[in-house]
Amino acid sequence: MPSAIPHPKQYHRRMPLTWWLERWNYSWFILREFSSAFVAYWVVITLIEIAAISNGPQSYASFQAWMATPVMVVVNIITLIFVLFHTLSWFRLVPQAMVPRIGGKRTSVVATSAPAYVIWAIASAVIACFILGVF
Amino acid sequence: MADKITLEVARFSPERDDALRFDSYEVPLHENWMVLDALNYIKDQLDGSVTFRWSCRMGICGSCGMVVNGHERLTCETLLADYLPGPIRVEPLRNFPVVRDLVVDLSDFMEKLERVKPWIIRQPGAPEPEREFLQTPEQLDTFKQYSLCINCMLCYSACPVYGLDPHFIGPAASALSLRYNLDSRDQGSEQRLDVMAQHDGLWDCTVIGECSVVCPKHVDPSLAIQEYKISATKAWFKNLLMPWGAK
Repeated sequence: MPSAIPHPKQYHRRMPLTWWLERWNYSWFILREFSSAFVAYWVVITLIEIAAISNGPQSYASFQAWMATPVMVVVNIITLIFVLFHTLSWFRLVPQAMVPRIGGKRTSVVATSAPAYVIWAIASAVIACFILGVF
Repeated sequence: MADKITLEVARFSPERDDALRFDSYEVPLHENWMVLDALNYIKDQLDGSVTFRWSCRMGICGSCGMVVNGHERLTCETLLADYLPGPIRVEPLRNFPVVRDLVVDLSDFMEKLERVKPWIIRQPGAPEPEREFLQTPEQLDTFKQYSLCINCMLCYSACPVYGLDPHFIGPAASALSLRYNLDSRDQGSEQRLDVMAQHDGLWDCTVIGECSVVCPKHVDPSLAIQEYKISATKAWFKNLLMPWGAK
């Protein structure tokens, strides 16, 4: 039912374009989302690498030469930093996104986060063993 | 310690203003005075036209939420002395239309709160107990923190997702909705999920987490929304894999 009393004018504030600079939590969120672009870049580079390997030794050698150029080394170092940040920022979110219960009791923040770090460490160790020729 | 401190209070008169303006007031700096005490001093002694909401003065009613120096606070729990040497800038909550000065229009939240059915729902024909419902401490623990929400709206003010998309159901409504889903006496989770799982429901949340940071009662609305996402995903898969078992 429409109100008989006219609604007084209200002031609607618009969010500034720089809202994400106002608080550390907002900036962290934008950085986390921005780092997804570097994850996507990493995936594309990996696909190119797989294609180069499947095309034979000559193709893979030229891929390696491309990766060794100073520009690509710098780009890949920046990518590594952002991908690490992306990974850690999502691990940091785990206890903010779920609270597993064991025997009806909530697990601690450390216990909730720990499996992610442990699995990450084991997966990294296994990959390192492959690269270093241990297996 | 200084004996006075300046408050810059946001003003908006719908009769003559098109935007917020700020008036400065110098108030006595008493050791135990809160920002709300200073606002009441301004209203009583300096400028009776300054408009703001307050009630209990003890962090229970949730009426006096404002933005103090850029951060959402209950002004009855915010010491003036923590902001020395000043000035202290007091603004209305963000993301809500300003009615006058520090008063915002909360109609949008009230509509959303009603939509998520924050009350115990029993299925028609469900057997009623002969005495009161009994709950174990573990059952109480699953929802207790969400029941502490006082509807102060600090979480909506701190949520940029709600600021950018006012259709988002928002933190407090989600926490209060989950509070009843987790209650062992309740049978209405499917009805609430129908509301929460819509595109403007919980899926808009991008896990920034500022809602949980600013909550004065240590409720964790961000966690509530993520728990809800897990429930909604489980329900979706259950419906996909066992359509004959759904509803």
